Amino acid sequence: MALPALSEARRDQFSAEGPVATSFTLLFRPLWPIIVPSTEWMKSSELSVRSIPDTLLEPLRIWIMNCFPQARLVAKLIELGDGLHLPERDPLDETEWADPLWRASQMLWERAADVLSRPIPSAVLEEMSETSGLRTASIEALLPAIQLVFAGARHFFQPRKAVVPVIPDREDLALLLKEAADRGVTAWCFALTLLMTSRNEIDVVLPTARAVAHIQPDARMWLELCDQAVTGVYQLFNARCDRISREIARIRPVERSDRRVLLWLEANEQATIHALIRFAGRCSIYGAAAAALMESVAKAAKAQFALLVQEDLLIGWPVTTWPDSLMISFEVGNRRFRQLVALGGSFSRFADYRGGIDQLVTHYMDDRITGLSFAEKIHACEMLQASHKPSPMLLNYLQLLPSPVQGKIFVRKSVSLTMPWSASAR
Amino acid sequence: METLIVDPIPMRQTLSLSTGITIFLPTTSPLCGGMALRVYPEEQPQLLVPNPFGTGVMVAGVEGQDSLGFTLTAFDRVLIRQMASFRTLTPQDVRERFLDTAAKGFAGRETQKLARIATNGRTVRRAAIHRKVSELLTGIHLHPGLSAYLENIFFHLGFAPECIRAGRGAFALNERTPPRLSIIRNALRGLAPSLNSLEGNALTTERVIAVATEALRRIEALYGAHAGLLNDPARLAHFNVSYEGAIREVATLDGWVRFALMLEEIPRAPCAVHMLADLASLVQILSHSNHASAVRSPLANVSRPSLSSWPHEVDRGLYIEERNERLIHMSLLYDIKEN
Repeated sequence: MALPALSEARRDQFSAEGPVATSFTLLFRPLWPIIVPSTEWMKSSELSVRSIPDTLLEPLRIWIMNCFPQARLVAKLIELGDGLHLPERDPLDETEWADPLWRASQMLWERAADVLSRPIPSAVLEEMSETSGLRTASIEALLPAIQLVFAGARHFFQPRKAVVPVIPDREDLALLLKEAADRGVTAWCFALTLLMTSRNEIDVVLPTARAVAHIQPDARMWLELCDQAVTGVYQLFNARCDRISREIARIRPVERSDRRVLLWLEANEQATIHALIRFAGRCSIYGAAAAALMESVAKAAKAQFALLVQEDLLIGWPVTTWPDSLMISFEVGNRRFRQLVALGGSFSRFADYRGGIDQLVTHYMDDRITGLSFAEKIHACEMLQASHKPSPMLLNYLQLLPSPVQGKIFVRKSVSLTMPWSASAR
Repeated sequence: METLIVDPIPMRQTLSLSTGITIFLPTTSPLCGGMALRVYPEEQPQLLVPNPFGTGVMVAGVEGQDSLGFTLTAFDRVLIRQMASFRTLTPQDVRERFLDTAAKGFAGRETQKLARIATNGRTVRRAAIHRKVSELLTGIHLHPGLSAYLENIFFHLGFAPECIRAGRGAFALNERTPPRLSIIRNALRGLAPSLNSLEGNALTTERVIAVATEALRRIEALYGAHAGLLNDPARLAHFNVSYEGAIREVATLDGWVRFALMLEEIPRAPCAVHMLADLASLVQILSHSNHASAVRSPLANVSRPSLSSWPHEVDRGLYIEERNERLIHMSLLYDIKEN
């Protein structure tokens, strides 16, 4: 299978900022496995049936966002995505605001599915073809498949912190795949690739896909596409990790006002990669691809972690007591560090990460971080580092507490179990 | 089945025949199930934890905390240390110390915030309940300690002050249902379906359902009995029984609330086998007794699954700590609702 190989031009188009949340990235970033540069898309007939040219995305976004009734809410959610300035909220219904970016993405995908399910007026199509440099016929051919991707968003995309494997309902999945097969080869390829690059359990996805392929009129072709999708997923991730390492290498850590919200390689993507590598351990035909992937992901994860640590050390935290939203997002960030260490450590060695974590722990334990109380420092370090020994700070505190009572030896009293609150009842 | 962790100091120094009372500890440590304290009058309490090396319950002194088979969080260390300094410990002390430790920020800012709100409301409610109970008891000649007991237990069970009036028993149970009672009732209703949805070992599931249903019903009955006292306060004049039974139930109330909250976590659990083991261990700890006549718990030989069945990509310690903090938030919300 010809892969959406990445040209030099495309590699360089990434900004030095790293991933930033906008309506464009939230809409299309999870679609990375099926997006290729237009120049390559037009050259290869194979790519043109199984991927989306990147110049089409911006016109699509404009059409999707056109007269979007909730555009303002989405913009607000994106703005509050870092969780630092969340509105005062009732803790009971915080689920809406628990991850504003995720909610914003969901709303965007719903909107996209809705807009694309209706025919696009020919005038708009022509404008799209003009800006993207594609023929209207080829845009029209892609649209049903793109609509399917957004309509099945809950199967294809998962929140970035969710590392737990998703076990999709087999019947739902079969329905989705049948629908994809009905819409043609493009939709089928999109669906398969996205299912495998998301955190879905491959042991459920693959058999279901093959079962659906079997009942198609030309079963052999569909089955072959299944196999190609599995092989392709290793190479896709491999290319992505390579690109990420190269991109990160060009970024110098500078002082930022807060932590990064989006990462290059999120925890759930790392978890997916890890699951795929484990899968290759059982299916030896993918062994070589998995080994290459392991190498590149280890490099990318390490580079990303090192950069995050360096950036964290440079952040100028407030010198007075931290506001609640900052503190809560700080704690969430610390958990993310721990997740990244656990996953990254499983690609290479834990030793690669120990130094960074130690640096962070010393940094936050330091007296120069004045905004954190001692309990908050202890809690922060406990979240960063799974240590078996209590920290010296905690030991000091424990010593300040009233000393434990030693039981009196051989107190023979009338045995009474009444508690003090009824002591006078005796 | 108890495994004793040998301590340099012998753990039980008195030869009293008492069996101790199990008080649930709301902890955050990454252990299967939960932790409890067994307290004896005039003695150091013992820690009860599910034996991480096999089946049964492990008994440890409150000082030998590093030999438990898992890493205690700072929150738990502080909490346990505070418990150890009590000469006599009541369930209410545990709840107060818990709120206090949480309000200091050992379990994160969100917990701290909720704990502060909960603590602030408590003093007001306490005073209101004190007033209402004395109003209720005016003109009734009763046993001297009873009014303090009633006050404490109504406070601990979360009865709304306006319910504490003669003849309002049914109102207290049905209209102004205490939040903890409503979650216990919910759990009773959803217990079997949600545990069966886990598709774990069917025998274990059945046993957990049986033991938990019985215990949850006992807690419901406890609420019923105390609401019944409100219906006819004149009866209290003849009320002179030991409260021990009630206190035993009250001591595990928060544990059962956690169990009920954990049932709601089932759909999000990363691994069904481990979730079932978690629930089973919690039930086992809560229903464990060293009384000579106690029936051996049907959960005594439920073994705990090994880590190999845990999803590879999920850090277990991190996950459980986070989940326990979430459960603490939920239980603090119940405290806040009571106020």
